[in-house]
Amino acid sequence: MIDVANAETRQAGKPGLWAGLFAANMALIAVLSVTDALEHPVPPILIALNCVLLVPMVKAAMQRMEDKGAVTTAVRRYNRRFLGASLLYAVAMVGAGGATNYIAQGSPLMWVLAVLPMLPAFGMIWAMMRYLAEETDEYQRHRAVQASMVGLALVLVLGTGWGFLETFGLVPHIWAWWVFPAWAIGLGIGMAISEWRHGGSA
Amino acid sequence: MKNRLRVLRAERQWSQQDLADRLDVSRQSVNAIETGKYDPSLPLAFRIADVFALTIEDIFLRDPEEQAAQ
Amino acid sequence: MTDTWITRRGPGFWIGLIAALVAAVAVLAVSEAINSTTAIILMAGTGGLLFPLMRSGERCEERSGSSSPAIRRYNRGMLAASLAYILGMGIAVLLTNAMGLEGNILWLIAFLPVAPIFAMIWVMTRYIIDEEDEYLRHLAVMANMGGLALLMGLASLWGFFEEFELVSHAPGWLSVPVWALGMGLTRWWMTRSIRPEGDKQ
Repeated sequence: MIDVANAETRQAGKPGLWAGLFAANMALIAVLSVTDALEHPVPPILIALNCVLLVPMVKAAMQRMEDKGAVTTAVRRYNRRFLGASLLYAVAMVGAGGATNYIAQGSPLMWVLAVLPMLPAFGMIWAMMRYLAEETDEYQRHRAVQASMVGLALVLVLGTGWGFLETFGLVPHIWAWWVFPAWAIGLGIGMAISEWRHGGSA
Repeated sequence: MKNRLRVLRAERQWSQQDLADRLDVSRQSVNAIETGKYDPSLPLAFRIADVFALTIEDIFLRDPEEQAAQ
Repeated sequence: MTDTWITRRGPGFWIGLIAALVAAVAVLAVSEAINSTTAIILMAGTGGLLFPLMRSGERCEERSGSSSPAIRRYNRGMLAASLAYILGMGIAVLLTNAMGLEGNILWLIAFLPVAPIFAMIWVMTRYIIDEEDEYLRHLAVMANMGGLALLMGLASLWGFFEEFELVSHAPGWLSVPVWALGMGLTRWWMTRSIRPEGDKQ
């Protein structure tokens, strides 16, 4: 009964679906690697591949923001930079992960391999800093800052909680780069809260 | 903060998008300012005043209690 | 004599001292010169220095006119949480090491130091919500963003080196001290050109 055009816009406007799928995959990878079902460096490669899901998610989110009239030039620029960095990250991670098998343990080449995926990861952080600097719409910048504070709170709560459970030997250790995905999830939650509190457009 | 943006827009027959374009901000931001959910900074408030060719006080209204206190 | 010398120190002195001690303990712990329990006790002990830091910080804020009711509430909340943390950590380490408690009770014990840190995060959140002075709130928000940037940068860097087994593992609770360090640095950077009016004469 729903006409096609309507169904299409609704489909495009479901970033939550992709985010959910992404989060579910992440959780699965985390569980598998914490229980040692996966050996290093398989988990980061899986995570990198999972990042491909972010492409349709960002597309859907952009469509929704476009509908609400919340897209600024700085947002568009940020999206391009961030997506570019994520794809580079995925490629570098898969490449570096595959190459570790051919390199002797402790060889200086390992440092090069470790740095390779790090550059796009820093690119993502840089893209966000550029966004805050370039956003001329103060209300949108205000919302971005608020959402990233929610991400920060999540990171600090998770880090402290997990860190101490780990210190007391209750849970296995996780790698330090968990901070970034955890923050990104918190950012998403923060965006959703602000959307819900401030509503869309009249 | 209360304001007369909606009335001023109606007088000029501008949509939120029209005002947003003139101010170089997003439509959502115009909506947030108009509904009093977000107070603009001084520079943006001046830009809004310039667009309507009015003063800031003609657009943004003091809180009644604050005014009474003075 | 020593007392006046101590009370005259600015917040920078205390921050520097705390940072140096924390860094020293971290280096010792990562290089495995001391075991993790010793590291935790030393880290917690360093927390005692927060008291003089707060006192000198408040004096400084009042002099430069950057104090507000929300800030005083924040300072009191942070100090209470820090002391609760030191106490909680001490009790937790005592219970596990000296009394050798094990099993499910450990989940409860681990909560002793976690709860005060959660309280600190909450105090910070309340502060940003409660602060009515928009410039001070802006400062706090920017300082938090600085803390976030430092935390993300360091964690990503460390994480990748760790993933490729080039450095040893860093515990998750380090995120709070790193965040605090980033906040302190950002705040200093943003306010470095602001001098109290009286200083010019």
